[in-house]
Amino acid sequence: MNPLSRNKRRAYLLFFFIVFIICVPLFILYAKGYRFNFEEAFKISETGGLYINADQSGISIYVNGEVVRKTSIVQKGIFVQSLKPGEYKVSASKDGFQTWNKIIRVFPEIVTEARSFSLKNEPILTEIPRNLNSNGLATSTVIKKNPEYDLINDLFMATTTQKSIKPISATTSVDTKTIRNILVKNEDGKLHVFWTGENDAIPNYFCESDVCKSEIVINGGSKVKSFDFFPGRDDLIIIRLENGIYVSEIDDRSPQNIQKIVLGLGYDFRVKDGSEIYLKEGAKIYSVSF
Amino acid sequence: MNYKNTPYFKVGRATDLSGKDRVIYRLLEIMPGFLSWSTLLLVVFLSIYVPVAAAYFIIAFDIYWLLKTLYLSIHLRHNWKRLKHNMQTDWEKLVSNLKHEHIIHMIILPFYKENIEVVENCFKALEESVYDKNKFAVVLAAEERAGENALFVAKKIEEKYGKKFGNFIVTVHPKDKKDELAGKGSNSTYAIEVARRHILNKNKIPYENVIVSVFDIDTVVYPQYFLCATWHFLTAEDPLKVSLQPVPFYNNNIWQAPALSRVVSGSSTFWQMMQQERPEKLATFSSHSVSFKSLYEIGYWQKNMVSEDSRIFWNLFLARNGDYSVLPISYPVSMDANLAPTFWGTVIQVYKQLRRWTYGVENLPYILFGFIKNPKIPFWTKFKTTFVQVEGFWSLATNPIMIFLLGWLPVILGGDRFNETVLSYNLPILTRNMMIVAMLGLIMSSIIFMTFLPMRPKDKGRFSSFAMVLQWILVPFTIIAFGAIPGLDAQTRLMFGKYMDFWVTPKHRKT
Repeated sequence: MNPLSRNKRRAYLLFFFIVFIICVPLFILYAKGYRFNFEEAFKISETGGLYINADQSGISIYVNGEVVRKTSIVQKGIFVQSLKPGEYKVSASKDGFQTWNKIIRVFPEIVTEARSFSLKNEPILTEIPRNLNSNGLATSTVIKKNPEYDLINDLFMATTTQKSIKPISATTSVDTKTIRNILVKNEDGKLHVFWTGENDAIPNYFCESDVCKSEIVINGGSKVKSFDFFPGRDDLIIIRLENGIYVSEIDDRSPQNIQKIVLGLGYDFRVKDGSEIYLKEGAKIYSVSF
Repeated sequence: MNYKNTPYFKVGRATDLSGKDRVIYRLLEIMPGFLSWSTLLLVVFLSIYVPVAAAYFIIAFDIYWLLKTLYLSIHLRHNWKRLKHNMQTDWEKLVSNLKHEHIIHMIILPFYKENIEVVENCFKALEESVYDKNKFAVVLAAEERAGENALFVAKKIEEKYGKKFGNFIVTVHPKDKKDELAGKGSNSTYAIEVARRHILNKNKIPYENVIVSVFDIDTVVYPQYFLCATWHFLTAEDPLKVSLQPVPFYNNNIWQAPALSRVVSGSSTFWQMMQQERPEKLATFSSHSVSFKSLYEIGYWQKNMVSEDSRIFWNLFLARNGDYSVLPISYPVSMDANLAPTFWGTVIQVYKQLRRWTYGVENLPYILFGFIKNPKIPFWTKFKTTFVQVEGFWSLATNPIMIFLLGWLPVILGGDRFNETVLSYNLPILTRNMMIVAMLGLIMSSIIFMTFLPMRPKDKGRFSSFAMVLQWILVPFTIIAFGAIPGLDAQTRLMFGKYMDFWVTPKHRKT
């Protein structure tokens, strides 16, 4: 049996060479976001993409009402490409959770990013008992005070939260909080968010294409009485309004999503150690889980 | 003056030369490592400063690599068929049609401290070869530096097999000889010269009638190897202008070796199989056969370097002004896969062996220096050979790293602005998808591997067979850890003039 003949090998080589020459520009254009537009007589058009970081598994991502994919434990962000430049209505939803919606503008060759959030329709409130019996269980009979309750109650008793609240001027009372270069000010019930870090590292929600804003306003619909950062996220703010406790995103690309934690008058909240959220209504204290 | 008579014909390294020649040779030693490191650094540099260009380059490179894999797999598939065909061919019948009675097979078996079991396996296979053993001149080449035990092994083998071949001698290569690098080359050269005087001259055997097979001591020949080699030798256009290259299998202990070692040795077999269909890219490797006359004319193997198995080909190539080639015979010989008493021992051994093999890069300065110095070699031959050899060493050391590690680099180093582009998102997806398609070729590898596997020993369960298939998923890891990294290691050593010594792979058998 003879080895592969020289002519055959040359033919294979030529074939693969031609494939290479054709494929390289096609693949590069494809990777950059160029697509054949079959509707317009095979015209090549520029497209862009969306990347939605859901931060949770089991979230279905919809683009213009059509489900694109569901997030999973290993893939919590969804990349959608081949989108013509323009505005897209994006939603993130899951049964039993509040829906996140956003109109996002897609630009050619660029991936526009957004970070969704989905709180439970009814977050679980677990009451922290005020008293404990001799076995360490909750009781209405005063046997022993619950030290955890006292500790959290102290947070509520303080007029300020643990984080720095400095009056900026003597005449106006201004709350400010900072986390990772994001500065939030409460000026007369409206939250103003500023980026204080390097320009290169500015979060994408401050910018659209190449244009970045210096300030974002969180408009809760009514006066914000107090606020804090949502545990684990620097793009979400917990706000206390007249009629309940809510979570708002800083990203103000329309609409600025606000999801409720609890509705009702008389609720206050505190974030302990940047990780736990507690609610207080009258003398009752609850820990919140989502 | 014929090139073989020049003072630099048997140069081992730059330090063997002086003056301008030394500078040129040294620069040529630096070149492969410099080229590989520059490529890798260039990709890193581009990823940081021009990530878009880096991404274009990586996409083009991904496509190149995928197509190269497909192109090579066509060669592998063809050689698979040819190898199977040649293993079933009745070479005795084919040889009987030719005048062959004058052919003598001189078998040089250099060994070091290998135990008697390994040496005996080699001899058993020789004894069982289908050939007139009277035509065999077997030379067991021991090393004095290996000590008493090696001499004892040689004596035992001589007692048992000495009378079974037409000629049998044991040679003992003296230790600490001046101007020699302790290793297979110096031992083989010593042994063959003794054999020339004591066997060929004594029996008045014409040198052109002698085929020399120089085998690593773990080589177990397949039954018709010498018939197949004889047929190819006799039917070659000019037998003095070719070296006969079999396909190395590593089947001797394949069922005992760990998966890592099996994959590395299997990959080496596949590489040789592909090269058998691309003879212009082939240099001799490991066990092979060559005409005695050719060897004698150039004074046998170099004694001052590591990769003498390939260097002998380049010696002949330069001495014959480029009119010399490898004739792939597509017939197997079997050797040992790496196996040490412990797993980590095996891992280290595999790495060291691969580093020694890839230190074959020391041939590159030799070839290029020869091209500069030998004007009788046609320009086109020089050009093609240079391209093939440089590309070979460059791709060995850089391509796996570029494919598996650098495909994501622009995304990591390219900065926020690049990371917002569709290109940045697509780069890892494209690289991954192309890798997956290329990996489908591994299914073919595992099928081919299974067809050449010896029978499963009774003490091995079915899972062992399953592991032989599953093992190929290790390839992305092995081609980096036991391909690119030892390749870079060897090139870097050569680049900095930290020349390597010969490292003898220990042959261990699990009992």
